[in-house]
Amino acid sequence: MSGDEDRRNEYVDLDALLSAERDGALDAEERARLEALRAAQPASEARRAAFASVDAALRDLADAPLDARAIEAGLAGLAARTVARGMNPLPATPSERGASRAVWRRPFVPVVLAAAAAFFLYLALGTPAFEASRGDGSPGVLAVDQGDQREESNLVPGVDDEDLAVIEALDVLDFMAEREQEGRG
Amino acid sequence: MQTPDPDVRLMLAFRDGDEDALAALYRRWAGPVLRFLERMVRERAIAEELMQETFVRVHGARDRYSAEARFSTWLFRIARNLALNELDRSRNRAPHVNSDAPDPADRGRPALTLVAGGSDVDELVDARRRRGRVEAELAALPERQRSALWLAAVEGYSYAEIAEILDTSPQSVKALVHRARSSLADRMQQEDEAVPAPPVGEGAG
Repeated sequence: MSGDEDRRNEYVDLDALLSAERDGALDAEERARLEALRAAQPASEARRAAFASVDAALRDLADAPLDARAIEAGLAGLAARTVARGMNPLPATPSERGASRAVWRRPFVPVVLAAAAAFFLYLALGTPAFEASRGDGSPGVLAVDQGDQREESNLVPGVDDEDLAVIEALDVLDFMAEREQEGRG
Repeated sequence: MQTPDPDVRLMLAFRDGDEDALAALYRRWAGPVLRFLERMVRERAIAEELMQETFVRVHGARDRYSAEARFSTWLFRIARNLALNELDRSRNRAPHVNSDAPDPADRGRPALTLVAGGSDVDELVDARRRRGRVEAELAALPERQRSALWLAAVEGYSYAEIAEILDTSPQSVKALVHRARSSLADRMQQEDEAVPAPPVGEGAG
Protein backbone atom coordinates (compact mmCIF):
# COMPACT_ATOMS: atom_id res chain seq x y z
CA MET A 1 0.00 0.00 0.00
CA SER A 2 2.70 2.43 0.93
CA GLY A 3 4.52 1.47 -2.24
CA ASP A 4 1.46 2.41 -4.31
CA GLU A 5 1.17 5.62 -2.38
CA ASP A 6 4.81 6.43 -2.94
CA ARG A 7 4.46 5.75 -6.65
CA ARG A 8 1.35 7.93 -6.77
CA ASN A 9 3.15 10.75 -4.99
CA GLU A 10 6.07 10.40 -7.35
CA TYR A 11 3.75 10.54 -10.34
CA VAL A 12 2.05 13.67 -9.06
CA ASP A 13 5.39 15.18 -8.22
CA LEU A 14 6.79 14.35 -11.66
CA ASP A 15 3.68 15.73 -13.37
CA ALA A 16 3.89 18.97 -11.45
CA LEU A 17 7.60 19.29 -12.14
CA LEU A 18 7.09 18.65 -15.86
CA SER A 19 4.49 21.40 -15.90
CA ALA A 20 6.70 23.87 -14.04
CA GLU A 21 9.60 23.02 -16.31
CA ARG A 22 7.62 24.31 -19.29
CA ASP A 23 7.34 27.67 -17.56
CA GLY A 24 11.01 27.85 -16.57
CA ALA A 25 9.95 27.78 -12.95
CA LEU A 26 12.22 25.10 -11.50
CA ASP A 27 14.96 25.86 -9.05
CA ALA A 28 18.14 23.78 -8.93
CA GLU A 29 16.79 21.33 -6.40
CA GLU A 30 13.58 20.77 -8.34
CA ARG A 31 15.49 20.33 -11.54
CA ALA A 32 17.65 17.65 -9.97
CA ARG A 33 14.58 15.88 -8.66
CA LEU A 34 12.92 16.04 -12.07
CA GLU A 35 15.93 14.48 -13.73
CA ALA A 36 15.97 11.68 -11.18
CA LEU A 37 12.26 10.96 -11.65
CA ARG A 38 12.59 11.15 -15.41
CA ALA A 39 15.34 8.61 -15.35
CA ALA A 40 13.19 6.30 -13.25
CA GLN A 41 10.13 6.75 -15.48
CA PRO A 42 11.02 6.86 -19.16
CA ALA A 43 7.31 7.03 -20.03
CA SER A 44 7.32 10.55 -18.62
CA GLU A 45 8.53 11.71 -22.01
CA ALA A 46 5.01 11.15 -23.38
CA ARG A 47 3.60 13.36 -20.65
CA ARG A 48 6.15 16.06 -21.40
CA ALA A 49 5.11 15.93 -25.05
CA ALA A 50 1.43 16.13 -24.06
CA PHE A 51 2.10 19.29 -22.07
CA ALA A 52 4.01 20.77 -24.98
CA SER A 53 1.08 19.96 -27.21
CA VAL A 54 -1.31 21.74 -24.85
CA ASP A 55 0.84 24.87 -24.85
CA ALA A 56 1.15 24.82 -28.61
CA ALA A 57 -2.61 24.47 -28.97
CA LEU A 58 -3.14 27.42 -26.64
CA ARG A 59 -0.71 29.59 -28.57
CA ASP A 60 -2.60 28.70 -31.73
CA LEU A 61 -5.68 30.17 -30.12
CA ALA A 62 -3.93 33.48 -29.60
CA ASP A 63 -5.08 35.61 -32.52
CA ALA A 64 -2.68 37.83 -34.32
CA PRO A 65 -2.13 41.16 -32.57
CA LEU A 66 -4.50 43.94 -33.55
CA ASP A 67 -3.50 45.48 -36.82
CA ALA A 68 -2.40 49.10 -36.95
CA ARG A 69 -5.74 50.38 -38.17
CA ALA A 70 -7.64 48.63 -35.38
CA ILE A 71 -5.23 50.01 -32.82
CA GLU A 72 -5.59 53.59 -34.07
CA ALA A 73 -9.34 53.17 -34.12
CA GLY A 74 -9.13 51.89 -30.58
CA LEU A 75 -7.07 54.89 -29.53
CA ALA A 76 -9.64 57.23 -31.01
CA GLY A 77 -12.33 55.35 -29.13
CA LEU A 78 -10.34 55.61 -25.92
CA ALA A 79 -9.97 59.36 -26.41
CA ALA A 80 -13.73 59.68 -26.86
CA ARG A 81 -14.40 57.67 -23.73
CA THR A 82 -12.08 59.73 -21.56
CA VAL A 83 -13.74 62.92 -22.75
CA ALA A 84 -17.17 61.48 -22.07
CA ARG A 85 -16.08 60.63 -18.53
CA GLY A 86 -14.86 64.14 -17.90
CA MET A 87 -11.22 63.11 -17.86
CA ASN A 88 -8.49 65.11 -19.47
CA PRO A 89 -8.82 64.22 -23.13
CA LEU A 90 -5.99 62.63 -24.99
CA PRO A 91 -4.73 65.45 -27.24
CA ALA A 92 -4.98 64.92 -30.96
CA THR A 93 -2.47 67.52 -32.05
CA PRO A 94 0.86 68.76 -30.73
CA SER A 95 -0.65 72.18 -30.07
CA GLU A 96 -3.13 70.59 -27.69
CA ARG A 97 -0.47 68.72 -25.77
CA GLY A 98 0.57 71.88 -23.98
CA ALA A 99 -2.94 72.22 -22.65
CA SER A 100 -3.11 68.81 -21.08
CA ARG A 101 -0.97 69.54 -18.11
CA ALA A 102 -1.60 69.23 -14.46
CA VAL A 103 -4.13 71.82 -13.29
CA TRP A 104 -1.69 73.71 -11.12
CA ARG A 105 0.59 74.22 -14.10
CA ARG A 106 -2.03 75.88 -16.21
CA PRO A 107 -1.48 79.59 -16.81
CA PHE A 108 -4.95 80.70 -15.80
CA VAL A 109 -4.60 79.37 -12.26
CA PRO A 110 -2.08 81.95 -11.04
CA VAL A 111 -4.03 84.62 -12.90
CA VAL A 112 -7.20 83.64 -11.07
CA LEU A 113 -5.35 83.50 -7.77
CA ALA A 114 -3.85 86.91 -8.39
CA ALA A 115 -7.24 88.34 -9.33
CA ALA A 116 -8.81 86.91 -6.19
CA ALA A 117 -6.00 88.25 -4.05
CA ALA A 118 -6.29 91.70 -5.65
CA PHE A 119 -10.03 91.67 -5.10
CA PHE A 120 -9.73 90.87 -1.41
CA LEU A 121 -7.00 93.45 -1.05
CA TYR A 122 -9.24 95.98 -2.73
CA LEU A 123 -11.99 95.20 -0.27
CA ALA A 124 -9.63 95.34 2.69
CA LEU A 125 -8.28 98.77 1.71
CA GLY A 126 -11.78 100.24 1.46
CA THR A 127 -14.18 100.07 -1.40
CA PRO A 128 -15.84 102.79 -3.38
CA ALA A 129 -19.55 103.22 -2.81
CA PHE A 130 -21.61 100.41 -4.11
CA GLU A 131 -25.08 101.29 -4.99
CA ALA A 132 -27.76 98.80 -5.58
CA SER A 133 -29.89 100.40 -8.19
CA ARG A 134 -33.32 99.14 -8.96
CA GLY A 135 -33.59 101.87 -11.53
CA ASP A 136 -36.45 101.36 -13.79
CA GLY A 137 -37.48 98.04 -12.34
CA SER A 138 -34.97 96.01 -14.23
CA PRO A 139 -33.81 93.16 -12.04
CA GLY A 140 -30.90 93.84 -9.75
CA VAL A 141 -28.73 96.23 -11.67
CA LEU A 142 -25.79 97.01 -9.51
CA ALA A 143 -23.96 100.19 -10.18
CA VAL A 144 -20.35 100.48 -9.08
CA ASP A 145 -19.38 104.05 -8.48
CA GLN A 146 -15.80 104.57 -9.57
CA GLY A 147 -15.72 108.31 -9.85
CA ASP A 148 -16.62 109.31 -13.35
CA GLN A 149 -16.81 105.76 -14.54
CA ARG A 150 -19.70 103.57 -13.75
CA GLU A 151 -19.90 99.92 -14.41
CA GLU A 152 -23.02 97.97 -14.10
CA SER A 153 -23.70 94.36 -13.84
CA ASN A 154 -26.91 92.46 -13.58
CA LEU A 155 -27.57 90.56 -10.44
CA VAL A 156 -30.54 89.17 -8.59
CA PRO A 157 -32.42 91.90 -6.73
CA GLY A 158 -31.50 92.20 -3.09
CA VAL A 159 -27.85 91.29 -3.47
CA ASP A 160 -25.71 93.88 -1.74
CA ASP A 161 -22.04 94.58 -2.09
CA GLU A 162 -21.02 92.33 0.79
CA ASP A 163 -22.92 89.42 -0.69
CA LEU A 164 -21.38 90.13 -4.06
CA ALA A 165 -17.87 89.88 -2.65
CA VAL A 166 -18.64 86.57 -0.98
CA ILE A 167 -20.33 85.19 -4.07
CA GLU A 168 -17.45 86.10 -6.30
CA ALA A 169 -14.88 84.65 -3.92
CA LEU A 170 -16.87 81.43 -3.64
CA ASP A 171 -17.21 81.25 -7.40
CA VAL A 172 -13.46 81.47 -7.77
CA LEU A 173 -12.91 78.71 -5.22
CA ASP A 174 -15.58 76.49 -6.80
CA PHE A 175 -14.08 76.98 -10.20
CA MET A 176 -10.62 76.05 -8.98
CA ALA A 177 -11.93 72.99 -7.17
CA GLU A 178 -13.79 71.90 -10.28
CA ARG A 179 -10.75 72.18 -12.45
CA GLU A 180 -8.68 70.28 -9.93
CA GLN A 181 -11.31 67.54 -9.89
CA GLU A 182 -11.20 67.31 -13.66
CA GLY A 183 -7.48 67.00 -13.49
CA ARG A 184 -7.80 63.99 -11.18
CA GLY A 185 -10.02 62.31 -13.71
CA MET B 1 15.94 56.27 -9.83
CA GLN B 2 15.85 54.80 -13.33
CA THR B 3 13.47 51.91 -13.68
CA PRO B 4 14.43 49.17 -16.13
CA ASP B 5 10.88 48.46 -17.26
CA PRO B 6 10.21 50.65 -20.32
CA ASP B 7 6.49 50.39 -19.78
CA VAL B 8 6.85 51.73 -16.27
CA ARG B 9 8.82 54.66 -17.67
CA LEU B 10 6.04 55.31 -20.16
CA MET B 11 3.40 55.16 -17.47
CA LEU B 12 5.37 57.54 -15.27
CA ALA B 13 5.72 59.86 -18.24
CA PHE B 14 1.97 59.70 -18.77
CA ARG B 15 1.45 60.44 -15.09
CA ASP B 16 3.65 63.48 -15.48
CA GLY B 17 1.72 64.81 -18.45
CA ASP B 18 3.04 63.07 -21.57
CA GLU B 19 -0.19 61.98 -23.23
CA ASP B 20 1.64 60.26 -26.07
CA ALA B 21 2.99 57.78 -23.54
CA LEU B 22 -0.45 56.29 -22.99
CA ALA B 23 -0.88 55.89 -26.72
CA ALA B 24 2.41 54.01 -26.85
CA LEU B 25 1.29 51.74 -24.05
CA TYR B 26 -2.01 51.14 -25.79
CA ARG B 27 -0.33 50.21 -29.02
CA ARG B 28 1.85 47.73 -27.20
CA TRP B 29 -0.68 46.12 -24.88
CA ALA B 30 -4.12 46.36 -26.48
CA GLY B 31 -3.62 43.11 -28.39
CA PRO B 32 -2.38 40.93 -25.51
CA VAL B 33 -4.99 42.34 -23.13
CA LEU B 34 -7.72 41.67 -25.67
CA ARG B 35 -6.51 38.09 -26.13
CA PHE B 36 -6.52 37.52 -22.40
CA LEU B 37 -9.97 39.02 -21.94
CA GLU B 38 -11.35 37.00 -24.80
CA ARG B 39 -10.27 33.83 -23.00
CA MET B 40 -11.87 35.01 -19.83
CA VAL B 41 -15.23 36.22 -21.09
CA ARG B 42 -15.33 34.08 -24.24
CA GLU B 43 -17.03 36.72 -26.36
CA ARG B 44 -15.04 38.98 -28.63
CA ALA B 45 -17.34 41.99 -28.47
CA ILE B 46 -17.38 41.98 -24.68
CA ALA B 47 -13.63 41.46 -24.57
CA GLU B 48 -13.15 44.52 -26.80
CA GLU B 49 -15.35 46.59 -24.56
CA LEU B 50 -13.49 45.46 -21.48
CA MET B 51 -10.15 46.12 -23.13
CA GLN B 52 -11.13 49.71 -23.78
CA GLU B 53 -12.40 50.05 -20.24
CA THR B 54 -9.11 48.72 -18.95
CA PHE B 55 -7.25 51.58 -20.56
CA VAL B 56 -9.83 54.08 -19.37
CA ARG B 57 -9.07 52.85 -15.87
CA VAL B 58 -5.35 53.24 -16.53
CA HIS B 59 -6.02 56.79 -17.68
CA GLY B 60 -8.10 57.51 -14.60
CA ALA B 61 -5.50 56.07 -12.24
CA ARG B 62 -2.58 58.02 -13.64
CA ASP B 63 -2.15 60.22 -10.60
CA ARG B 64 -2.17 57.25 -8.24
CA TYR B 65 0.23 55.11 -10.25
CA SER B 66 3.44 54.05 -8.53
CA ALA B 67 6.08 51.85 -10.09
CA GLU B 68 6.01 49.02 -7.60
CA ALA B 69 5.67 46.25 -10.16
CA ARG B 70 5.78 45.69 -13.85
CA PHE B 71 3.28 47.83 -15.67
CA SER B 72 1.85 44.83 -17.52
CA THR B 73 1.19 43.03 -14.24
CA TRP B 74 -0.85 45.99 -13.05
CA LEU B 75 -2.57 46.25 -16.42
CA PHE B 76 -3.59 42.60 -16.52
CA ARG B 77 -4.81 42.82 -12.98
CA ILE B 78 -7.14 45.66 -13.94
CA ALA B 79 -8.29 43.69 -16.98
CA ARG B 80 -8.92 40.56 -14.98
CA ASN B 81 -10.91 42.40 -12.34
CA LEU B 82 -13.09 43.93 -15.03
CA ALA B 83 -13.59 40.51 -16.57
CA LEU B 84 -14.52 39.01 -13.24
CA ASN B 85 -17.09 41.75 -12.73
CA GLU B 86 -18.48 41.03 -16.15
CA LEU B 87 -18.63 37.32 -15.47
CA ASP B 88 -20.48 38.00 -12.24
CA ARG B 89 -22.98 40.18 -14.08
CA SER B 90 -23.57 37.67 -16.82
CA ARG B 91 -23.43 34.52 -14.73
CA ASN B 92 -26.52 33.12 -16.40
CA ARG B 93 -25.41 33.94 -19.86
CA ALA B 94 -24.48 30.84 -21.88
CA PRO B 95 -20.80 30.94 -22.74
CA HIS B 96 -19.90 31.32 -26.36
CA VAL B 97 -18.27 28.17 -27.58
CA ASN B 98 -16.59 28.14 -30.92
CA SER B 99 -18.13 25.06 -32.47
CA ASP B 100 -17.23 23.54 -35.77
CA ALA B 101 -20.20 25.19 -37.44
CA PRO B 102 -19.42 28.63 -38.85
CA ASP B 103 -20.51 31.30 -36.41
CA PRO B 104 -21.58 34.60 -37.97
CA ALA B 105 -20.66 36.33 -34.73
CA ASP B 106 -17.21 34.85 -34.85
CA ARG B 107 -15.78 37.86 -36.54
CA GLY B 108 -12.29 39.12 -36.18
CA ARG B 109 -10.64 35.75 -36.26
CA PRO B 110 -8.02 35.38 -38.90
CA ALA B 111 -9.19 33.44 -41.91
CA LEU B 112 -7.61 30.09 -42.47
CA THR B 113 -4.49 30.54 -44.49
CA LEU B 114 -3.38 27.90 -46.93
CA VAL B 115 0.19 27.04 -46.24
CA ALA B 116 2.49 27.22 -49.20
CA GLY B 117 2.96 23.75 -50.56
CA GLY B 118 -0.74 22.87 -50.79
CA SER B 119 -1.92 21.61 -47.40
CA ASP B 120 -4.56 18.98 -47.48
CA VAL B 121 -8.08 20.28 -46.90
CA ASP B 122 -8.65 17.52 -44.39
CA GLU B 123 -5.70 18.73 -42.37
CA LEU B 124 -7.11 22.21 -42.29
CA VAL B 125 -10.51 20.92 -41.23
CA ASP B 126 -8.86 18.82 -38.54
CA ALA B 127 -6.87 21.82 -37.33
CA ARG B 128 -10.03 23.90 -37.15
CA ARG B 129 -11.84 21.17 -35.27
CA ARG B 130 -8.96 20.76 -32.87
CA ARG B 131 -8.89 24.47 -32.25
CA GLY B 132 -12.57 24.38 -31.40
CA ARG B 133 -12.01 21.50 -28.99
CA VAL B 134 -9.16 23.25 -27.25
CA GLU B 135 -11.23 26.40 -26.92
CA ALA B 136 -14.10 24.45 -25.43
CA GLU B 137 -11.85 22.63 -22.99
CA LEU B 138 -10.14 25.84 -21.98
CA ALA B 139 -13.50 27.51 -21.44
CA ALA B 140 -14.57 24.63 -19.23
CA LEU B 141 -11.69 25.18 -16.81
CA PRO B 142 -12.27 27.14 -13.62
CA GLU B 143 -11.48 30.81 -14.19
CA ARG B 144 -8.35 30.92 -12.05
CA GLN B 145 -6.87 27.87 -13.72
CA ARG B 146 -7.73 29.24 -17.13
CA SER B 147 -6.22 32.64 -16.39
CA ALA B 148 -3.10 31.20 -14.78
CA LEU B 149 -2.44 28.81 -17.65
CA TRP B 150 -3.05 31.43 -20.31
CA LEU B 151 -0.77 33.96 -18.67
CA ALA B 152 1.96 31.37 -18.24
CA ALA B 153 1.78 29.42 -21.49
CA VAL B 154 0.72 32.14 -23.94
CA GLU B 155 1.71 35.48 -22.45
CA GLY B 156 4.88 34.15 -20.82
CA TYR B 157 4.48 35.60 -17.35
CA SER B 158 6.41 34.19 -14.43
CA TYR B 159 4.58 32.57 -11.56
CA ALA B 160 5.45 35.55 -9.36
CA GLU B 161 3.90 37.96 -11.85
CA ILE B 162 0.83 35.81 -12.29
CA ALA B 163 0.52 35.67 -8.51
CA GLU B 164 0.30 39.45 -8.45
CA ILE B 165 -2.33 39.49 -11.14
CA LEU B 166 -4.42 36.81 -9.48
CA ASP B 167 -3.74 38.10 -5.98
CA THR B 168 -2.34 34.83 -4.74
CA SER B 169 1.00 33.15 -4.07
CA PRO B 170 3.50 31.79 -6.62
CA GLN B 171 3.05 28.33 -5.14
CA SER B 172 -0.66 28.60 -5.72
CA VAL B 173 -0.05 29.68 -9.31
CA LYS B 174 2.22 26.70 -9.83
CA ALA B 175 -0.58 24.41 -8.68
CA LEU B 176 -3.20 26.23 -10.77
CA VAL B 177 -1.12 26.02 -13.92
CA HIS B 178 -0.32 22.39 -13.33
CA ARG B 179 -3.95 21.44 -12.76
CA ALA B 180 -5.08 23.34 -15.82
CA ARG B 181 -2.41 21.94 -18.07
CA SER B 182 -2.94 18.46 -16.75
CA SER B 183 -6.72 18.68 -17.30
CA LEU B 184 -6.29 19.86 -20.86
CA ALA B 185 -3.68 17.22 -21.61
CA ASP B 186 -5.92 14.47 -20.25
CA ARG B 187 -8.98 15.65 -22.16
CA MET B 188 -7.12 16.15 -25.40
CA GLN B 189 -5.68 12.68 -25.08
CA GLN B 190 -9.11 11.20 -24.41
CA GLU B 191 -10.54 12.91 -27.46
CA ASP B 192 -7.64 11.83 -29.63
CA GLU B 193 -8.20 8.26 -28.52
CA ALA B 194 -11.93 8.55 -29.18
CA VAL B 195 -11.45 9.70 -32.78
CA PRO B 196 -11.99 6.68 -35.01
CA ALA B 197 -9.04 5.55 -37.09
CA PRO B 198 -9.33 6.45 -40.78
CA PRO B 199 -10.76 3.64 -42.91
CA VAL B 200 -8.36 1.33 -44.68
CA GLY B 201 -8.08 2.05 -48.40
CA GLU B 202 -10.66 0.20 -50.57
CA GLY B 203 -9.81 -2.50 -52.96
CA ALA B 204 -7.26 -4.03 -50.69
CA GLY B 205 -8.96 -7.28 -50.69
